[in-house]
Amino acid sequence: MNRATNKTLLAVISLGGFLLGQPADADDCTLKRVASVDMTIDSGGGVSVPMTIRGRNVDMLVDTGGYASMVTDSLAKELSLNFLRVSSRVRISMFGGLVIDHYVAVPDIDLGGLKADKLLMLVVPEGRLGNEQGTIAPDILRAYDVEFDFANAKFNLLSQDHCPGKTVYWTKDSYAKVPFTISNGGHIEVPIMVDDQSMRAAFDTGSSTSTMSLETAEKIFHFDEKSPDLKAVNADSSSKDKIYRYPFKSLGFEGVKVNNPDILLFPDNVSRMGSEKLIIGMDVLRQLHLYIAYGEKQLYVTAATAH
Amino acid sequence: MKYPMLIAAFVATATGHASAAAYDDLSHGLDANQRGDSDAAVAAFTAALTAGDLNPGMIPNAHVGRAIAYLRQKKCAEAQADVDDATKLKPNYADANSLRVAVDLCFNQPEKAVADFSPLIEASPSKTWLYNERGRLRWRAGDYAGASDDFGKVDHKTFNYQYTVLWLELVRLRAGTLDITQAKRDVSDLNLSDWPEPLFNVYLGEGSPEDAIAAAGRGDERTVRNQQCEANFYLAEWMLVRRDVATAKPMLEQARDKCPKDFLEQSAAEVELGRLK
Repeated sequence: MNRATNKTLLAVISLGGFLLGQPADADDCTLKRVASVDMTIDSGGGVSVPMTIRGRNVDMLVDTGGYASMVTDSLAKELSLNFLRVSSRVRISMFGGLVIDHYVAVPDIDLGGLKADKLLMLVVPEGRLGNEQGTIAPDILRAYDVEFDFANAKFNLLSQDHCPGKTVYWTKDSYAKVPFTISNGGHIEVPIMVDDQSMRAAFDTGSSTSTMSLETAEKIFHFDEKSPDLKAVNADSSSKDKIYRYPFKSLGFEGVKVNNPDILLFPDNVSRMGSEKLIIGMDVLRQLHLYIAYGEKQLYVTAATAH
Repeated sequence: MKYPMLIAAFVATATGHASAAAYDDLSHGLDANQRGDSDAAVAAFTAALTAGDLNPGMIPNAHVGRAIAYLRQKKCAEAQADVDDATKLKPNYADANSLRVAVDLCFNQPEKAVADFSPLIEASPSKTWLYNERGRLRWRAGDYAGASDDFGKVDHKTFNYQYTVLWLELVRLRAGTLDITQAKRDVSDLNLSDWPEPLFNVYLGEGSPEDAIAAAGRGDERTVRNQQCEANFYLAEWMLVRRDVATAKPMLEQARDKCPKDFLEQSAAEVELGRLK
């Protein structure tokens, strides 16, 4: 959920060693799994996977909507890592606008057999990640194909070196193939239809809910804050900014349709979503078996329980 | 099972069949918990757990999800059974271990909640904000000296640290150990805005409750609501130290009834009213 507003951060974080997996045989159409771990859905609805850092077991949130992978402030301190300041030319903020301004070199990482001697990761302040101690974001993910098999509780990273389109191994039935682009923030963006209006949406496994910019929704769907269909969900809270639900009828993309999607509408000054106006979160994504072919820039999708 | 209120119905027109019904039930349970529909959540997680084909790795998830729903329904024993089952299957399951504390509070056993919370601190001693949580549990258990010790360990950089200091002085007041000189030093290190300074002034003997109540009434409508909520709770605690239950009780009732639901003073007022019964 963190997002960078300046691409130069890439230069900062790419100093870290990439995770090394098994070499792939280019002539072989067999998919090569380079890491496979059990995943759970945490109480906040996010994807949690186990990893070790210097032999210590930690739980990490898999965050396709992140920019760079992170560890919590407390974990970095407990590992006695040296805090380094992110370049002043770079501004990184999370959903809600919290600024991230430090990073650390994390040693001896093992993610389901995939190892790295050192990886530069941002430091996220406490209290932002539930019970996880960090995130795995597209800076790591996009070097692989990524598979979320929710029904079988497996998170897999696979080599991108495979025959084009030969990815859907878990079912012989048909599947949806969805082309995507990668945003400046490194997020997967897909054209989506919401109530017959076309929009672009970012797929974010780090977000428990799907969210939309309130201002954008008002403009596209022609309602305002006085609309009787708009229901404030935080009327009892201390926040001066209201968050709403609106009864959208459908959300769909390439062979996938969600009826009555539950999308929270955030004012832009609250979400600080930047250019992304619609985020598809785990409320939708966990209903899918999702294979993200970062190399091909294609999503391969079936129902979560297809086999 | 049918889900007439199901919000997100997946209709993948080009995909295969869904035979693993248990996973669908689990997913429905998560949806229901998210929208606060505890009855539907309990039904869905129960269906997931009894279907027989839920992936073993997801079974602790289902127990935790159902425990959350049971807690909302105030069904403490049922929630406890689910937390027990989840931790049997996955002993270091952080979500389940956190929920155990909520179960203790559901049973109104704050001392047990303190005991169950302590391993979370021991596992991550640098998460000093956790001392805030245990400090309030200890306040709830009436262990004001222990609570004071905990609030004193919170990192000064923690979000809303001024409220940690307010709680620190509150429990010192309750324990009878408030040292005004030390408290003034604590407060002088804070970069206090207009609020909650008037509350500190009352605790430090430098302002009256009437001054604080008047200050709470300044600002826009939402600011006033939030400040009055806090004034009602923190001043009521001060009144209780002075054994003025007659004044404190209606203030606590105001805090319980009027505070925003995401303010900890709302639930704290409810706890205090429970203790006054």
